[in-house]
Amino acid sequence: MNGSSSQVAIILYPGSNCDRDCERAFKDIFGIGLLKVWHTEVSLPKVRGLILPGGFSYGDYLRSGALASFSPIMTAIREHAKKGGSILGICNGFQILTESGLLPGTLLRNSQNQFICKKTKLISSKKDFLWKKIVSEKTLDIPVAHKDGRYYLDANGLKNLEDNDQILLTYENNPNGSAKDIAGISSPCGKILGMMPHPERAALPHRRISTDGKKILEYFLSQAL
Amino acid sequence: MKYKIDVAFKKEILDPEARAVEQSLRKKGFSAIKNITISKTFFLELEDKSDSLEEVENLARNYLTNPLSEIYVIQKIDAEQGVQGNNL
Repeated sequence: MNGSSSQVAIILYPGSNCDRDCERAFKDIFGIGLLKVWHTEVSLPKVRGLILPGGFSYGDYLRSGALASFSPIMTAIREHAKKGGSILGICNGFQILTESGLLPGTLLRNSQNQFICKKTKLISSKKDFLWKKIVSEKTLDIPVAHKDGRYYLDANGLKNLEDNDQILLTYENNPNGSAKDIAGISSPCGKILGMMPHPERAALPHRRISTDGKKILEYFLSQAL
Repeated sequence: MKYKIDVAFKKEILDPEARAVEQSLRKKGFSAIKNITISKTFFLELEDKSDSLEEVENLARNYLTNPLSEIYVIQKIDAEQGVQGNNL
């Protein structure tokens, strides 16, 4: 691996299942190999960016993402965030970020009580210059695949998200009852990103979905590298 | 000491599972049903040296519930009599 290829790590939990899609996307698009870190580790290799992949960590027991947020690697993830390192949490990764308090809100059972797996149209909401530059399209086609994707936060919290330009993406047709149609948010500084849709599944042309997800991965890298 | 911890969604949180049970039972003819809520119950037994209500509160508040969407109720379980309504 060359220098740039060891800049991003991916955390693996028992039940993670989208890590290889992420690996493939980062390798094929950016030539970046992801370092794999098992959840029982207590320290991280020297990286600038971290990915928390989708899946069903710990079988979604207790609450989706809850047990993963208690796992040994979490202390190192918090330190990474504190030092200004960037994090991308996708689907279950987003649930882990909210459960651990690194991002506000929580993800509840979809309002229709069903697992949803389909392509969604997302509206790019963040007004940040770099986000607008990289994720230039007004709408993006990226699929979702989740049962616990209904974003919830109290009214004050939602106002803070809007005031601090933390809403990344909203659904054009809200599939799960999320507050304010929210599909993804960021920390106030934009370094920590969490989203229910799967950008890694819509990044490579051979997947025949779209390649809009590539822009999200690009934005994450712009924050990380 | 044993403890019983009930965790339920706050009133303002939609629980689609409870709504589905409610609707199905109404359709079945139980028209008197006004509302159904579903809660999770944890039974907890602590080592004597850490046995304190503060420790149970800590577990309930910071781990067993998500304070944004859930509330909890802790009950001590009497070893002889159990909690009323339970067969423990």
